[in-house]
Amino acid sequence: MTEETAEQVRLRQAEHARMLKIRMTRPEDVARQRQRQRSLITALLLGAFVVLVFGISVAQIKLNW
Amino acid sequence: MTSITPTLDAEALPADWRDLLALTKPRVMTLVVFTGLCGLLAAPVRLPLVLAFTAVLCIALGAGAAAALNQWYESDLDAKMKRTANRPLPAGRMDRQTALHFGVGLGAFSVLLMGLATNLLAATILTVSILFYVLVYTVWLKRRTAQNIVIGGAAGAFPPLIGWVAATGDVSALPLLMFALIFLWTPPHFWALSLYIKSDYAAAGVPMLPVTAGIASTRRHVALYTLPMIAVAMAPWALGLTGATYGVGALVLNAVFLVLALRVAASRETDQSLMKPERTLFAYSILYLFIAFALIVADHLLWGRSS
Repeated sequence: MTEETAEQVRLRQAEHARMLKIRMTRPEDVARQRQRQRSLITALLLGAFVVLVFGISVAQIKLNW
Repeated sequence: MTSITPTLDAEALPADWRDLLALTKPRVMTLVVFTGLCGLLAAPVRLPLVLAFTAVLCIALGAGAAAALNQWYESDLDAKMKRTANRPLPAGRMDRQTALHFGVGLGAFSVLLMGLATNLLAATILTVSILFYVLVYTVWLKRRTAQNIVIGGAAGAFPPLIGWVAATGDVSALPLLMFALIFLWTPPHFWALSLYIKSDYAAAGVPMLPVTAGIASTRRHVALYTLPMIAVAMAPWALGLTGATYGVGALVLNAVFLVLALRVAASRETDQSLMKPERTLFAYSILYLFIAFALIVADHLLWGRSS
């Protein structure tokens, strides 16, 4: 097997990036990516909300002790 | 290199989270959060940190909800103005239904959380502030009268009152003066802006004062409305609710405001791109409110006088 030259590697990587870009601009891929991002953010916010409610409960208990 | 970019149908795609964030007008929210925090810090009662944080968070979420509902209702106007044409709805990056659901959900959540974390009165005032901004300012006044900003200014004046009530559970003179200060600050602040973007408002058919009454009349109004604002800004000191830290600071801030407002009143410039005094007053008015509220808090922290 022959070794790839640096130029060949660069061209192959550029082609790969181009194909990825094309795939990522398909509507279904954009929709999936956005849904994934929104799900992740929702999960993080829900986690933060649980911590916040816990903190509020502790503070209220201390205030009314 | 060839590129394949299929047309994306914004209506069919879920909204990008960055557009949902943009719907809450984060830059406007900065001032809302700051004044709300100042109301909370100027109060004579110290809330536990987590409750204080939650109160400010709810004020921010409530403001975000009001902004989202405002953009939902005004997407047709926003599309006609250069300043707002790139917002998520007029730019077609989001469908209106999403904005409506997001705004209503965020508003309801902020009110419920405020009620659970602090008290019913704070949650009630937060509800009133959201409804006032959406129903009174956006739906009723904005497209009908040049007084939209005068009455609608009350919507942005609620945060310090909410912050104070969240901490104390009741209303007293200082938070009412903080409310009045923002209420009276809003007209000169917005009229300064509307002078140099008059054509934008005219294109969208929004009856802002420069459009309905003309530039000269608006300039007079800016100077005229600055006077009661200064009176209210000096009132906390005059009534003994704050000390000299605020009093002297407010004196300087108001003197500069008055000079800048008089410069606007004296200007005869009609070319929007050359309206420098108007731009200066608009920029300074934002700084003015930040410093005035910071001084109220600093005064309270130094002397512990507000009650």
